[in-house]
Amino acid sequence: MTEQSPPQSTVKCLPTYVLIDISSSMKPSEDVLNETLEHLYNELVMSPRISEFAHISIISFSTDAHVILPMTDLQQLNRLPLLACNGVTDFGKAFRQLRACIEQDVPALRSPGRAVLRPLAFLLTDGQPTDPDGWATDAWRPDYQALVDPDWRRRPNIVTFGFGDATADILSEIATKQGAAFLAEERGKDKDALKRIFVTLLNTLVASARENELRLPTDVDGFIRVSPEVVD
Amino acid sequence: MTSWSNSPFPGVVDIGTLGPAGRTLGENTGESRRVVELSNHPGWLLKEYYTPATPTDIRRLDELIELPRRMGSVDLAMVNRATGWPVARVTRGGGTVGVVLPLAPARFSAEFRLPSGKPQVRTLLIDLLAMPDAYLTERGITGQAPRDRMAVCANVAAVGALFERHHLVYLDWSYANIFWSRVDHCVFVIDIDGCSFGPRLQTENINWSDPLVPRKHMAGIEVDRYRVALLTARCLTGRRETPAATAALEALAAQDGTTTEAITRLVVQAVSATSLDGRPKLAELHGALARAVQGSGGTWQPTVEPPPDGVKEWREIRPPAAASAPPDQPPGQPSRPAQPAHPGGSPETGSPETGSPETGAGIVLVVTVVVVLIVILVLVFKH
Repeated sequence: MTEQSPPQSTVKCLPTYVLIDISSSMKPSEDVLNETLEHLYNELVMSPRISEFAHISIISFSTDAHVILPMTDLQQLNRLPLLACNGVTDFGKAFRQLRACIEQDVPALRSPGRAVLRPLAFLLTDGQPTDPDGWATDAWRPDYQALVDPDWRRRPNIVTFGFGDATADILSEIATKQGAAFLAEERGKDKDALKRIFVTLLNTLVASARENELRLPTDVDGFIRVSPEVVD
Repeated sequence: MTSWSNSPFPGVVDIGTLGPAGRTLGENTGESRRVVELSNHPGWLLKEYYTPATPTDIRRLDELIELPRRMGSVDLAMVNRATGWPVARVTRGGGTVGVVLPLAPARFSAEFRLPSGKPQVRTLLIDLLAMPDAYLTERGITGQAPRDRMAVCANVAAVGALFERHHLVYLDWSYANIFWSRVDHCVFVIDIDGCSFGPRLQTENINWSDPLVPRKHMAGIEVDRYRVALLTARCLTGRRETPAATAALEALAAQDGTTTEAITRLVVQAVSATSLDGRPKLAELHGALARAVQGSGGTWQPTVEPPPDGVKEWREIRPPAAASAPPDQPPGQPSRPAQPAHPGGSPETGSPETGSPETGAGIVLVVTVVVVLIVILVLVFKH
């Protein structure tokens, strides 16, 4: 009887999107934002075990949404964007852009011997969604519903981080898992909050890379977990 | 350098007595809530778990912490030099919240060149050795010749063989849990506190999945044999996909001939076996790697040369003619292993030491004299 080789294990990868609010209220934190982005990039480039698992794309959004770092081999990258903060906070455009990216990126990641996990998106914001005039709005909801539509098999998991004027109810509504919404405990310390977010983001990728599944942070120093179930 | 043998801590220590936390080395990375340096104890780390340990884990940790005390000097030297072996269980309010570990020595770090050109000191994870030389040189690290890679792999296999000898199941072979030195090719294996005595539930570790032992099944030393073999293939070839790594290794063997042929055979056997008992022991893989390194003419520092199977350690024997003379240690001769200064400073209480030849002969003489006296007395009273 001939012996067959055991099946080779499938390599898995996680398409990961970072949606960064670069509206004008983020201006005071612009330097920190760019520093932490560079730090994140360095960690990924210097850690093949993370970068071979987590494939990163960065989408900035304010009045418009832009893919500032497409999902590409980080090793081939020879420049990093320097972000400039201005404009309003259009969540709807961010969600539309994210959906378009997922539709394009996920098929491109698929290859023999590699399975693509459900995309993961981190949303970083210091405020509430606004319309083009800067007023709070609910107009983002249809785009959000299209993004997380249960009938769309590539719908992402979303983890939200809020600081500054961000509110718990919006963050927890957008997060797709219980306990995946975090709000900074102290207001007015946005730079510290941003740094901690990026550390948490990286740690989440490291933990998820180890465990072959999404490992949400259990707690984030300086942040509280917000949940739609907590009413008071 | 801190190590198990020079630990100042008792086997169980309250977190309140450890003093303030210093630099954070890691947090929320899946293994633990955080790993921090202990400001009052330079060279020592606190690894804090997410949740308190269960009673089963407490017993396991205590046994693990005590295990080196029962090892021979060679294995103990390897524990000290090549592992972050836990030295104390940490409690808070009656529960076990973590362990104290030695900090890896500085020789497992190097100055890298970031993409921006800036320098940054980082730990040399085995993650990097499992990449082609071009990846290393782009980051300011000297490319590693085949014999350098073999030397590191030999030292990894040596630690695996140590676990095997002591019936420990590690499972956590991964890119982040092994440090290496580009100076002497030594290694430092961390997360030892996860070891079990015998099989335990398989952990999922992406890109290290064992095709014969799925997740949530019991995993034993056979999984360690698979993962170390896979790591060897990846580090020797710089190829990370399993089929590509083994194919590249076979190509290397075809090119190098006998130098890597034995290694390749053992690795391919471990990776492609259709039954668990078809996987070669780690001691075998270590032997093949060590011989290949020595045969390549390169210089390397074995982490510690492990003893052959069944040998716990070596002890000196004096020739009979010198038995009555006081021992005089010739220069360059290996000394007896020092007693470990471990929890509470108590001496080794493992296997009983056997006596010296002079003491044994003396006892025999005394017993003989006593027996003769008894016989004489019996004869005297009979008459």
